[in-house]
Amino acid sequence: MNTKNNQIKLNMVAVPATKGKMDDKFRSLIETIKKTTGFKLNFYEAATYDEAIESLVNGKAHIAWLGQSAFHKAVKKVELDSLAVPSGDDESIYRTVLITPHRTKISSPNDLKGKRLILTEKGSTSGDLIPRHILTQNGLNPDISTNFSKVIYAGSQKEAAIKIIKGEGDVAALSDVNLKEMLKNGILQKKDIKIIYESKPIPGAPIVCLKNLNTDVKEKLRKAILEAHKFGAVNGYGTHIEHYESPQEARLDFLKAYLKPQVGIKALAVSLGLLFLTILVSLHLKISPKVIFSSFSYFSDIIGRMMPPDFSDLWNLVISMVETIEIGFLGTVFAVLISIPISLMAAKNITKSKFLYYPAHLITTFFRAVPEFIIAMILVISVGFGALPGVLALGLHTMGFLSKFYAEEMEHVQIGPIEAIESTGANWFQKITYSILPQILPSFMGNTLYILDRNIRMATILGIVGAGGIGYRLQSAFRMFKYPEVSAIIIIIFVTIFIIDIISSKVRHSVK
Amino acid sequence: MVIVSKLKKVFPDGTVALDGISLKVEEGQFTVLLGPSGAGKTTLLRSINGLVKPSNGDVTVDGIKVIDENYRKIRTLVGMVFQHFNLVGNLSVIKNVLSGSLGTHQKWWSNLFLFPKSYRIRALDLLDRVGLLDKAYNRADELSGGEQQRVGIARAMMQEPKVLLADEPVASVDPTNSSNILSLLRDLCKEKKVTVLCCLHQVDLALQFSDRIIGFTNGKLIFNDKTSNLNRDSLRQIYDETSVEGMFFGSDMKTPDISHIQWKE
Repeated sequence: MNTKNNQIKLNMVAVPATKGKMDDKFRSLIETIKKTTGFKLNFYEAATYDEAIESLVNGKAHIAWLGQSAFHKAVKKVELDSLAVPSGDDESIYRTVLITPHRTKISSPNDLKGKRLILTEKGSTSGDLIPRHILTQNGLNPDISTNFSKVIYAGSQKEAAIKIIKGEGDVAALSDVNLKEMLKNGILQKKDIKIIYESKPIPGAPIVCLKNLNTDVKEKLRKAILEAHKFGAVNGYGTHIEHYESPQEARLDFLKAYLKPQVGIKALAVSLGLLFLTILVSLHLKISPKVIFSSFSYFSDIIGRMMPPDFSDLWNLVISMVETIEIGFLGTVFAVLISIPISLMAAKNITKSKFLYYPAHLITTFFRAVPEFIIAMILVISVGFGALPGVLALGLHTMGFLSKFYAEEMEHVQIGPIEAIESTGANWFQKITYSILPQILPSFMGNTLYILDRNIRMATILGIVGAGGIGYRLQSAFRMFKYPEVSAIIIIIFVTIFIIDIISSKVRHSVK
Repeated sequence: MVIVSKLKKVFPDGTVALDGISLKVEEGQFTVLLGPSGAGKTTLLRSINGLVKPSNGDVTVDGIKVIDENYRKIRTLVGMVFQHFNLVGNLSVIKNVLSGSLGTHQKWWSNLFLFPKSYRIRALDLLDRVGLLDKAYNRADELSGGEQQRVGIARAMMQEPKVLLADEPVASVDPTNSSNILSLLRDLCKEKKVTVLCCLHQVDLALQFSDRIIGFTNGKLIFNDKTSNLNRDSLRQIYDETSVEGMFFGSDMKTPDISHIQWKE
């Protein structure tokens, strides 16, 4: 910087991104800066990327355009301030494209293994660093010798394109800015090449200056560049530069592109859909708040008739309750006994044959699908009233659940311990007892206890279809309009289930 | 600034984790707490944001005493990075980062996972800094360990803390990632002038990244000085010799061979 004669003299350097053409690219911008600031600004293109960095380090240049890669390299060597960043339509400053000769079978980066890769110049962003990054992301790091049979540096993008036409390589990496130019002036023909990949837009590289430049000078420069578009076309390296913006603004724009709406349209649609469905279903079933409120009077009437509870036959009621608990217990034992072999057949990692797997699944699904109520009704008709149809109905229905639970637990065990036991030469049974059983035991116990708890609760109702226990008493009390006895039975059931609930949750916690 | 004075912590089972420790952590410094496991590093760290209640003595952060009434205030000032990352795996990466700002964003709609735009831009900015902008909308549990810890750091920085506590931040990360993560943590904190207190058990990493080292053993302060003043003797004191011998005990022992004995079954 030279302030003699009151005129400030500055040098601006650019990296040779398009060799010999950088002067053209920046000419109108430079002229505008000169006019608005009154500085003497000398622009020159460096011979290499490193030379451009060097001239900033030794103070020869004060301002620079370095492209992305040299910029990142330069900030490690010299303190720089970013003056402005080019901005165009949707940030599309430039993209890296991969091209191949038109007649090859290559259609995506996945087909490139073992081919000859052409890059332009070591260290160039669009012709070396970005393509390397893209290829590495596709599992084809060019530094690993097995990925490409040859990696050629052509020297320039034009040379790289010519090598593709001549068939001296299979794929070349270019910037789309250069590609368009070459297609325009006839170096390349559209019919000769194929574009197999286009990168995301690569954000424009900033115009930078030395950090220790005079603050006033820096501000004048920044203002001149940011307002250059008001004085005619601006240009620089890239296709659609409309204007330059401050680095902060550019950063914000860059980040804004990654914003997404917070409430997903899907979530909104699902919630609205559910609301609509609820209203529709209520209308179809003719359920409205009015109907619900008017039914309260009938409800309070029956409650009134049930009071006070009649415990005169308490002893017999308790015996029926005990019978109910016994039905639930036996039903569970029955279910567990059948579930163990069936779950072994239904667990994918244990069973070895499809002829076991599919029938086992069919059986469990069937008994899960048929409610115990219906099973009990059928059994009452065939084996008669009493506890037996209750036990069988509960056993069969919950077998459907338990087998599924057990099988899923077995499928989700860790493979490591099984492999370890297998590698000791243990047999099939030993494998199950030593590696699978210990892993599933806690949840096995938990699920079984849950089913026991549930079966006792279900057994109280099963009596209604004639399958024994307190449910049978409940149903006959209803039939004979003995409402006070009904309420007594309900109280007994409630107390029993309350106690069973406490015991069952305590036991389940203790096994986990 | 963090001031710890005569801090003592005795756990219910009688273990003395901290035995009357006093120290001052200078603003903007990267301080590493060094010591063998069980030395009391984690307990000290956790007593700074009130996750552990001291039995005696007290801690002040930025002039505010760490006591029950001040917990919320303290916790907005103090960020934390955990050994096991502690991300919410089912939430997206960006939501995890945004959750760092819950101490200041307390509108009712924060519970619907909604955040102001300025917050979301800041979260994206931090994610870009830690190199994970492209994964902002991935589920957090899809990320590798090293990536998850970088999200953990972004979450802590989202809080704009004055003090950052890092509890073994690289213990669950592979060695090549360890120095990347520590330098990221160091650079971000230097830039935003955040005071860092970091537990580490790797001496080499502590030497490489810290401005100051505080060495402990058995709940007592052994060393508290600039990193450059740490020498072999002080290291030996921190990792006291009995425990060093213990490490080699197994290999030196000759146990009698019983494999040839004939047993009657």
